[in-house]
Amino acid sequence: MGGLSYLFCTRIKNQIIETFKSPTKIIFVIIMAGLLILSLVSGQSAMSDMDTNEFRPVSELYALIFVLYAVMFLVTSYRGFSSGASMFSMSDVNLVFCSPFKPRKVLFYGLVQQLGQSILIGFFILFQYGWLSFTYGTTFLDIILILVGYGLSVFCGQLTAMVIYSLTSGDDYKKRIAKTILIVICAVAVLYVGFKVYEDMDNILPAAVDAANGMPMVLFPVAGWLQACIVGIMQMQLIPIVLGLAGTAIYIGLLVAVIVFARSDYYEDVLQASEVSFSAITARKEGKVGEMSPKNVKVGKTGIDKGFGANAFYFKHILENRRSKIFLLDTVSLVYIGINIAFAIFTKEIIPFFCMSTYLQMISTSMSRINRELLLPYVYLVPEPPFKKLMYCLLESLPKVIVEAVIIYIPVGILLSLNPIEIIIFIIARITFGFLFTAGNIMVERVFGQITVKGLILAIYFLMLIVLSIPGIIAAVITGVFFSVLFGGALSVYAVSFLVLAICNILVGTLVIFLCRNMLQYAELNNK
Amino acid sequence: MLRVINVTKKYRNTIANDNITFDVSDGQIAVLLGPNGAGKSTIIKCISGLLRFNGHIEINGFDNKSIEAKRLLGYIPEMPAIYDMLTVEEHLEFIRRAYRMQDDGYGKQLMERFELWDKKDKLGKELSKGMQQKLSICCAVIHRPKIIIFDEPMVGLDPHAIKELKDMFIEMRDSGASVLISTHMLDSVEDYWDVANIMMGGKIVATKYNRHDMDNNEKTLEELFFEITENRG
Repeated sequence: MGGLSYLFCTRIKNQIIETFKSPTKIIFVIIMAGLLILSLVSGQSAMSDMDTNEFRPVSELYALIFVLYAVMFLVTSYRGFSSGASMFSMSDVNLVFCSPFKPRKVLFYGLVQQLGQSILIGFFILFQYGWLSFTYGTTFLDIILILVGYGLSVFCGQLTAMVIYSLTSGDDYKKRIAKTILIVICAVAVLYVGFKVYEDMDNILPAAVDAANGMPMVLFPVAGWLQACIVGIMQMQLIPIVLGLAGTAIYIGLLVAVIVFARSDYYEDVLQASEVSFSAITARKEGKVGEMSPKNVKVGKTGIDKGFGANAFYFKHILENRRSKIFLLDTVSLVYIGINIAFAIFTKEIIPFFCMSTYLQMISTSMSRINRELLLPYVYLVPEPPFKKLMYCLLESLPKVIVEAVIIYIPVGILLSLNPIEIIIFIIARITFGFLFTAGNIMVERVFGQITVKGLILAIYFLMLIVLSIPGIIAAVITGVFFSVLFGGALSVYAVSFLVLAICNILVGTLVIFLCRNMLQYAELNNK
Repeated sequence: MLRVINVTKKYRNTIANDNITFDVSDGQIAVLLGPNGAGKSTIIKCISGLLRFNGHIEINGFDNKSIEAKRLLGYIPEMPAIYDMLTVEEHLEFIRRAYRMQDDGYGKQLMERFELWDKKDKLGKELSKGMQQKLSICCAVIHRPKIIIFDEPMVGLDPHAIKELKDMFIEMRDSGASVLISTHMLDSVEDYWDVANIMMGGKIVATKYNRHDMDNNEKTLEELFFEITENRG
């Protein structure tokens, strides 16, 4: 066995052994496997229970596949303008690059490693089986195909980033040309879809789906080809499979040739990306959570100016938000709001929309400033009552929760023809979910803060949020049934049920925060 | 005065600190010595109130988790604890405000002393690791603590900062503070230590006092350290 094959196989072997040595990692694997099985079972039962006519048009799924691949390909490729692609770790840079291996062999080693990682990153797609089979009648094989296509789009994005970096680093003119090409391709695609939608304003969704699946989009680099290939396999059509595969294979071959022949000394090109990736990993190990901030931060006016004692944390958070260009809402929130509104157009019904919107809210609540604060010692060291410190650390997220709720539910309410009282109650319900999830976040940190496997903490976090939501959901369902039987259409069932849900959320959230009030007194700094 | 009484800290089956007891008196510099993995950082974190433990830790007579104790304590972690989005000066302002202290110009003095004044408007994330360590030190001492705990404080510092820090240790001792320094670099503490606790396998295995009338037959700190760590390693 050659040195590189030995290194590759040994790393995989050790990773597997390491998983079985750590009880928390085993628990994580078991939970993930359990969730996957649950997703499989629910998907299968949904498939068997439903008539094929009840599924939504499968062309929507094909359009979603295209969007997913295109976003991943573009986002990954764009890194080429800053730091290139990091298919090598710092230990590869220090040990493999300095060893007497041929650069081409090392590149091949990096590519194989990267391909594996790209597919692993897409593991979350498998968990979408439940709702995809329920909505589109997707089979598990389809999901596997979508995952493979996803891995390939990320892989091609990494290669593209490496080539962009290799050919344009240090040359602003070339960089501008490459950026212009990328922007023009995207602009043409967006304009095409926009034009098709404009032509048929009465049927926005079908028009957008048709445009995304249309012939011009098949020409979109990598995403279009891969979508054609994957959809071709799903529909058993040979020509799209062959053309899509050929396009992708030629693209990969061309990029590898560019790296190997046009610039044989590519080590320098991957060095910066490896260093950036390494310092991010080290920072995480050292307990520093990177800010979701622009690369070039404008310092602006300096000084915290307000706060004395525990509320200094709140005013510090306000300042940090300003520097991170977060004015009430950050970019991620705006994206989530966009997804929410798009989903409302898509579902046209309030209950499925509310469920999906709340699910997205779970994800966005998981990274508030309190989580970052808990990784540094100051919040534990400052001589103030622990409950006061906790409250002031949580205060920063309150305006965001309220503004998000208002921005989402006013247009969605109008879109779905809700009356003003219903809109207000849905806004209140969302705000109370924000409160409940923040409380859940605190509870997870309080009870499971010592666990060092971040994936497991995230799984527990989602599980706990679901558990905390159950009392409100049950109460809302009972109220809904009760009111529809007793009063029929005299009262808005939605309004009453969601009001009860909101009250339950407040009660449960308050109880959780009360029980965790001394968290900063007893929690352990966990920055491993 | 710092008192550590029968402190044991376990991580699952690993005993990181095993029934540790020691004191650091007012006006004393104590050093915690030991090889990597001896349990120095763990006991430092227990003292600072960042970890749960069995046993008792007192800071000037207060339980170490009490608000009174926290007011008297300064802790410099091994890895600099810095906020990415705050400037150097804002870090000190934040700590001063959180500790309810008026601005008496001490922050500026500290920044000048550690050559941070010209970088006062730089963000935490823009600083080099050495600069971050200097800032971390300033943040820990700006409230003039009576008990100061340093975890490997010299790592990453330039010679000027090392000199200033050593001078600061001595000034703190002279002002009556209790100073505890954890390190595995013997030569960094040889000029000023008063009492040395040598740790191995989570226990304190030897305690040595720095006596100026030491006779020639007595072992030096370095000799004692190597005798213990190499024989038992």
